[in-house]
Amino acid sequence: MKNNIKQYRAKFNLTQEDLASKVGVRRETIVFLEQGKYNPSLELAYKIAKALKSNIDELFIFN
Amino acid sequence: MSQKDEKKQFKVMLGLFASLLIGLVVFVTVMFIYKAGEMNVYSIMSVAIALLILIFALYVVIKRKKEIDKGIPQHDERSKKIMNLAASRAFYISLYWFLAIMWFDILFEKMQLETNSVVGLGIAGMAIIWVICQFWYNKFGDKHL
Repeated sequence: MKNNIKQYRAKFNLTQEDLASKVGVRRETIVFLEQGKYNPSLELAYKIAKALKSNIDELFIFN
Repeated sequence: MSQKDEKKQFKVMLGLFASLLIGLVVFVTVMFIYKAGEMNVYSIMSVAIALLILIFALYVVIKRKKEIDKGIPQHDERSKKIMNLAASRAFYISLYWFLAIMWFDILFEKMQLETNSVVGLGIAGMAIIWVICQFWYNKFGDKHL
């Protein structure tokens, strides 16, 4: 699934490690998410959206 | 899992690991003292393999300790999914592995593998397949993740 996590992360000047610790996952999970190689659970998607002051619709592009 | 729980789990793991290491060292020492004459290549090899596994475990324990100190969670939803996927795929592949061992035994009748060797080969193969699956899904991901 495509997403805009990288762009939003850059907007808030957050590293992958910062975002990972904010949402309580390992850095590798953020790496795979940004590459579109991992589909997060609804809970994680919500947490990421909250951490990036956005919403799920803006962050994740559903095909 | 909270950080406190992870630290507790780590302490249990460390205790288990230390007991295993001490047990292995005592076992090897006793074997060398009393059974030195009866030892063969296979018994030395099995101890060497156990030692290698323990050294690998030590590496994992040290790595985990560093991560826990930094506050990095040991497992998250992705790592749990990978573990489940790797386990189910490893089980499926190992069925073929057991069939292969069976065919190998039939094809090369002269080898006459003992039951212990067949079971050992099967278990070792399953473990290796599981480790490879874990590594593969961790590195390359999967559409089911």
